[in-house]
Amino acid sequence: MFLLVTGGAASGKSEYAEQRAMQAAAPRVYLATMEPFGAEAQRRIHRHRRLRAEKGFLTIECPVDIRSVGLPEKSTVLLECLSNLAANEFFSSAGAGRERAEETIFSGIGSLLSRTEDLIVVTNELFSDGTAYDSSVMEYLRLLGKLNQKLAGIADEVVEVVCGIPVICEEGKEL
Amino acid sequence: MKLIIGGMAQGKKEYACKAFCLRADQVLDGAVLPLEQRDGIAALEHLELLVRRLLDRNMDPCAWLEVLCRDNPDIVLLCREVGCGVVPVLQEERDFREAVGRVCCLLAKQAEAVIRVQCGLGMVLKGELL
Repeated sequence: MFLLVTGGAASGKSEYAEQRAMQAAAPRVYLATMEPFGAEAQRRIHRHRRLRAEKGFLTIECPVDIRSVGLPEKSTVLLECLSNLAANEFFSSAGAGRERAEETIFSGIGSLLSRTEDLIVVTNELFSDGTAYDSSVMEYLRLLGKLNQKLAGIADEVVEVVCGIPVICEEGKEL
Repeated sequence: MKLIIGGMAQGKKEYACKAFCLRADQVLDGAVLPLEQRDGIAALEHLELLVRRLLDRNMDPCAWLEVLCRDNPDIVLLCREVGCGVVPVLQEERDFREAVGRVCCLLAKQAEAVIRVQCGLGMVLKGELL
């Protein structure tokens, strides 16, 4: 099963995605894509790690190149989040670069799908503020928008979380 | 008239072409459409940029669009959603955001169908797709 979860900042999308992962089979892996810069980020990461460990998640940090990440067999993977991963691949020196970010991420997701029982990807709604950012940011937004479309195209289920309420964009099929 | 809204880079045009059997070249661009050309238009994208051009010329977007819809009753209009951000610092940008929002409310009232596209998926907010 492949579930794509989207939503704005602080919409409750992470909590919803975690709930859905808890309903899926163990082992459960949390693929964290945030680059851990600075003391505040470190503190947040440690707190989240501890909370998720209590829920039986193994946390693996993977800011770029998800294709190469090692996973336990038949795991449920929760990837959070696509917007960070896209930013890292697009902007960071360790990333695939502007030309290859889309293909690298899309094929990386394909690789995760082939190696997991269930995959949940959390993405972000950054597209409706009408602000004209500089050209590299606009290019990044187009990258993330394109990835959202491509992933929604192959997902079994797409959900937007609004104020903690899941709004179904594309219904999961009963198997 | 049908209205398709959504954030940037969500696949509105691809969706419109599929849902309403349009060729990509039938979807004209609000950024460059001559303002005196208002007939024979099957579909128009970047309505938000058209609104900006009308505001720049001190023209009333609602009045302009009323004629457009009257002359093209089956037109498909595509507009980027621009209202989900912090209040812009510049008056001009506040006016722009306000005008796009009001235009969409007005069009949605008159539209046979309103569809919101997100992640390439269409959600019908009003009417139905035949």
